[in-house]
Amino acid sequence: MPLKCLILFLSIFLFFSCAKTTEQEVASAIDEARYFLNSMSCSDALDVLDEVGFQSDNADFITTYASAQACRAGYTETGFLFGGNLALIDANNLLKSLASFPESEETTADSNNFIYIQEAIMTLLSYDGNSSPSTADRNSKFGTKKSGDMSMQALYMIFVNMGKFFYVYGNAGNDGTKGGDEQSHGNSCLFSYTNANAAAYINGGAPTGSCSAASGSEGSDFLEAPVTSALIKTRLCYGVILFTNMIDILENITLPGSSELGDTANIGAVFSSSITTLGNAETSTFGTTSINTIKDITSQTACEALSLDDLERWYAIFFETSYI
Amino acid sequence: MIKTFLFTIFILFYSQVFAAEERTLGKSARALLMGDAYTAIADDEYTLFYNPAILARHDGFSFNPINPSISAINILNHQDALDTFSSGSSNPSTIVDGTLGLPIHLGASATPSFKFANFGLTGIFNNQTNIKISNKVSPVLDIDHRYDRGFIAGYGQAIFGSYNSEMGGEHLALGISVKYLKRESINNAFNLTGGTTLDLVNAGEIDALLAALGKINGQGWGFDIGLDYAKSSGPTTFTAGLAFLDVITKLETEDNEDNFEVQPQPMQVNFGTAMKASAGAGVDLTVSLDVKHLEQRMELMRRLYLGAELGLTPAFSLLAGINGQDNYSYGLKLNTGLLKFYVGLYSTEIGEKLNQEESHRAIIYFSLFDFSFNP
Repeated sequence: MPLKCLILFLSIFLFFSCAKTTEQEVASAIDEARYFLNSMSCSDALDVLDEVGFQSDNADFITTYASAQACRAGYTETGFLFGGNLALIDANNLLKSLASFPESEETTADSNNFIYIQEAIMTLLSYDGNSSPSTADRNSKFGTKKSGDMSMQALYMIFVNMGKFFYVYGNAGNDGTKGGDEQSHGNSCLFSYTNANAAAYINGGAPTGSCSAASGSEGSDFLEAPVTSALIKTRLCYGVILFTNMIDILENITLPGSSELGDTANIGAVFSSSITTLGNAETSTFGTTSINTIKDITSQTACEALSLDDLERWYAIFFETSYI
Repeated sequence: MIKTFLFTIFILFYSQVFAAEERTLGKSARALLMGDAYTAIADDEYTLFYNPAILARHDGFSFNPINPSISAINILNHQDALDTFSSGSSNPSTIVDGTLGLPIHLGASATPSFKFANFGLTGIFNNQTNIKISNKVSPVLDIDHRYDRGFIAGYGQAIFGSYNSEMGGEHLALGISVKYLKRESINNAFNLTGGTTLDLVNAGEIDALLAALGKINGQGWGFDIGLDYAKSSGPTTFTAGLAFLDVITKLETEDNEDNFEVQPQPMQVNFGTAMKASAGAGVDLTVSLDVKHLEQRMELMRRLYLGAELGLTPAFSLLAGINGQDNYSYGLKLNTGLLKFYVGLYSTEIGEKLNQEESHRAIIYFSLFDFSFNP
């Protein structure tokens, strides 16, 4: 009789056994996704994370979700970090050095690999749809340890995608030089400038490397008709926000003292100086403030709300000068 | 009875969610080598970690002053990692790839205890560290470290019949225990290539290292409740138990700048049965079955724990068990009077779903100067 009571009690308890709380389910999903990512089972990882819904307040969820997105591009941080890429970084000629990464050799715009990594970057930066993502916001929300990890994860991917971006649109050579024409795209500039200020800057003898004449067809075919104007703006803004978020991260985190990071620590100082110089030059020459406006824009949506004139001025004055 | 059994089986199959490694305050080496099917057996110095009601079986005075236990990863069962280490590669990518999912475990504990009649008091000194690298895309260093110190005090009382370990009989007993716990904890996942982890190499002193990893402290009280049924009939003894561990165990975390929390100590409800048949002169066979984690839904095979102990002489026993479908354990016991010694290998589930991830471990335990007196 006592044993029967015990078994009955067990049965009743089993009937009322509890499902996990949302918090436990999320933690389980993160652990399981990481397990799938051990073997690069990207879709399994994404599925298990999607099952519990996106958790914009959970740094571990956000970083794991971004990993699963980047996984589809075959990207691995250790492959990037210890594959010698960062040793190539030259803070004084950053965009060229990024375009020289072996991973940068893309043959077309918006490749799957580029888009997957871009989505991962957006997940890390714009996890809550913030119109102005920043390292300071992440520090405030997640604490410096978790936020620092998010920023570093984003930074590595930003380097990868900036390399792909400038390689494709800059028609890079195999050493990353703009207009080097390794993929035979033929363009000498990033963009074909129609804005009067932008064209004047290019034609005015500024130190812009292969991009020395604004003839109307000097830019990448991927940034002119028949590509729609909306897609052109989207692509131009990819480059802008990759750059602005890179600077935001580098200016607001303490980089770890690892030799693998090469010249990375000097990037912030170099560009801080050149943005100021070129911004002042733009204002004094043309009376416009595109560079000073755009340097603080860190979301894709906010960037796409800008006028094409502003973007042209940024590309002509800042990017064409910085990438030679 | 059969209807009840079938109903129970239905519920067991119906309940399928997920769970990672269980977080307990103390594990008996004997239990681990018997597949951890121990809820109805724990009549030794680990009673208060499994079922306080078993105290009702105790008579006289028992004292177990020195009983350290050490467990560690059994690296021989992790071939990928072995290959990586033996290759001598210094490429960080190769090392990380080879160690992905390798569950590094190190445990050291001691549970000095004494029992007087149906009362028991056990000290908790339990240091468990589990480290794992996962996520090949952005490798994550997952650290689950806790150092628990405290005590458990409990009392068991028969509410039906009478039974004790030496004289036999039949009883249904109720037991309760209360515990106090101080927990030093690191429970974080850091990107291996992130700032926190890369800076660890520069941390220097161990205190700086632990601080960099986010070491925090917490403390609190908790309670356990258990039921124990025991019946002996000639040379056989049947026991069954239902234990509600950490029914209300609440740990408060001390303030810290990152707002980290110490690992919670979740409730665990376990049911166990065991049958022991003695052939005299220390020769006996014990088989046991536990159905664990009744408080949460999970796969049936993850709930089941099976174990056996074959006593060949009063001084020597062989132990074996299985749980989680394919996690085997085996080992031996040597008891020389002044020294009781267990050694063996065991495996445990650590993944979120059955058979996803397993940790293979070795354990060694010895208990010195055990003393018991029963007038």
